[in-house]
Amino acid sequence: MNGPGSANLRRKSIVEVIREDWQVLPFADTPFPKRRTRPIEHYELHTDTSDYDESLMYEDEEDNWEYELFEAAKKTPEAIAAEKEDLRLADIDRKNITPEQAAELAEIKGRADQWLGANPNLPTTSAHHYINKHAVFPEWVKTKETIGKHFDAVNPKLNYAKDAHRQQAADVLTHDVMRGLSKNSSAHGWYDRTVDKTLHKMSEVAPEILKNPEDELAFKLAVAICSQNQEVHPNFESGYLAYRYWKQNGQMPTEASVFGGGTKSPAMVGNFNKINELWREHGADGLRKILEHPITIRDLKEKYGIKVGGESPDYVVEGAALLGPKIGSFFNNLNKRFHTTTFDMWASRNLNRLSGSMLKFSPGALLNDTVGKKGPRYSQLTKLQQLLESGEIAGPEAETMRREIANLRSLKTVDREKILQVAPTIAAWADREHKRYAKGVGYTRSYPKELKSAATSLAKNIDLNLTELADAPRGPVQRKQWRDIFARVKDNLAKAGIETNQANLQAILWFAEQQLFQLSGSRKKANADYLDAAHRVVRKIKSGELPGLAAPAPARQPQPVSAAPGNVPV
Amino acid sequence: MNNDNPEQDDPNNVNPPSPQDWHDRMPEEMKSHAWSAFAHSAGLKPHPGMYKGKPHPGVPEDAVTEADEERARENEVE
Repeated sequence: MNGPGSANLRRKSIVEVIREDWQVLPFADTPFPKRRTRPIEHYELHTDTSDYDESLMYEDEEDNWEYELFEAAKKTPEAIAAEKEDLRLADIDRKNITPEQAAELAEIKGRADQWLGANPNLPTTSAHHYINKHAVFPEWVKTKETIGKHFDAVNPKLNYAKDAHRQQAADVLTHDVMRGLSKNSSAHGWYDRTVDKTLHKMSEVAPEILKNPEDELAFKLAVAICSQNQEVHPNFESGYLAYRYWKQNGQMPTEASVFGGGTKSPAMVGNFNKINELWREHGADGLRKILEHPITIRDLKEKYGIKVGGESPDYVVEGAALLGPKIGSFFNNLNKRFHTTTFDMWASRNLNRLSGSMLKFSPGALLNDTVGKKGPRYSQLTKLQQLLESGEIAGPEAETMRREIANLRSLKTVDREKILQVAPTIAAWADREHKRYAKGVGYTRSYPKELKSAATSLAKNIDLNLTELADAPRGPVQRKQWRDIFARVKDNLAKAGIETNQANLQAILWFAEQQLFQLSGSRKKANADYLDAAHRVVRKIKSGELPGLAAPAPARQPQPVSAAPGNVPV
Repeated sequence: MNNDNPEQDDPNNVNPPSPQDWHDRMPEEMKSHAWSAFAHSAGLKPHPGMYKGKPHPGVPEDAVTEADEERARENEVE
């Protein structure tokens, strides 16, 4: 059941592990931070929330406790103060807009207000129905699972295969967008301005990225490629170091030690190798042409014999998607091509909430053994039974789990609540083992390969099935339906005289959905955007913490995929 | 493999792979061929022919998907 050597750590939280290893941290004399409620200083979409309930501006002290402690343990008080100052300066920069931009935002706000005046009835399924306190969550709604349970019970079931249901969802989303724009129209054009300001800030230390198209291409590629599975600050730092290498050597780095890159650094090296090859073969203009060239999934299959999974045949991809679909989308955004739709966790929750299908429960996955083209596909219960019989799952729970499997198989009707009642031990085992695997307790990353086993993988999938929200499209068909819904929202906005792009539209909805989740006390750590990251990187370069473009390169160690159990990253 | 037909949704898949998950498991020779396809389509290279290399292995049901990683990164595994 446990990964090798992990038994002694499996019940410890990150806090416990850090407490035990506190003496090895670089500032052991620093008092253990007190629990506190911390004001949210910034969000990715720096929308002014001054007209919201102040209670929404604070995160639950429990929420980020472990994360903050973990982060704080790695930084000196001086570093924390410097980062806070970076954020303050980035915020000033963000709000510094031209009179023309201010006039445009005022115009957008006027149009949103006008639309709301003509459409005063706020749909009960909109996020703002709760945000504006027309409804409150029942007392029992305290977790993601219970948020899903609540909305799956109260929202109508929409079938997005139906045109009318997609339109219904688009109309509700339009209300949320209009209310977002009415409260703070700076969301309009936010992405464009962030790209401009980020590049402008970086030009303080790398002026060529604004003057030379090849430098601009190299910098944007470096940042986009280093975005894979990295948060914005390490992403931007890695991107800068990769660009710096290009600047000094005329090609992208092919050693992760140059730029760091985190757990996906091998994939980044693969992408940099390919970019070097294409740049040599076709030059910068040819490379840019390939990256921006569109082909349908159908043509890739029929004309070149390449099958791409997860997308419908008529979906158009550009060459940059070969770096990775999200990397390609981000590269497009950095080039102000904002047409791609990103179905992240929050977009998925939003669209599933509207259709009353937030929880991903599948009775078939739990109970039904099937035979497909590639052979038998066993249900989660059958796999669990096999692991119990082989002894891979053992211990005091095993006998109870066997009994619960038998009870589940004898059920005549199956729903999620019934299963949780009949099989509490299985549900608790799956929850516990999934959490241990996801948090990578004792390792330096989530889902470390050392903890991967038939048991932990099954625990993950059972837990996802019984309690988790559907945080991604269920497949290419649903992905296509969701794109259509967003296109309809854009049409609705255009009819109201508001032309917006996909990236900005999604950012507005992303913010509303997060606010909705926070109303129920859901955890959420504050996010930074690329302008915040640029301010931090520039400050580090100017202070000598990071090397300037011309300085010799210090060796950087690529982040290990995982460390030995018991080691705490510092 | 999660799905016999990657162009259709699989209702029994509780953790459907994203295009990124599919991309991450694409054989290198397939990726290389796809780059050549784009270069050809953009008018920069001759037609590379139909791909005859290793097929895509699919995304196994026990894979840690992009959605799993995103939840973990956002501290969202409750």
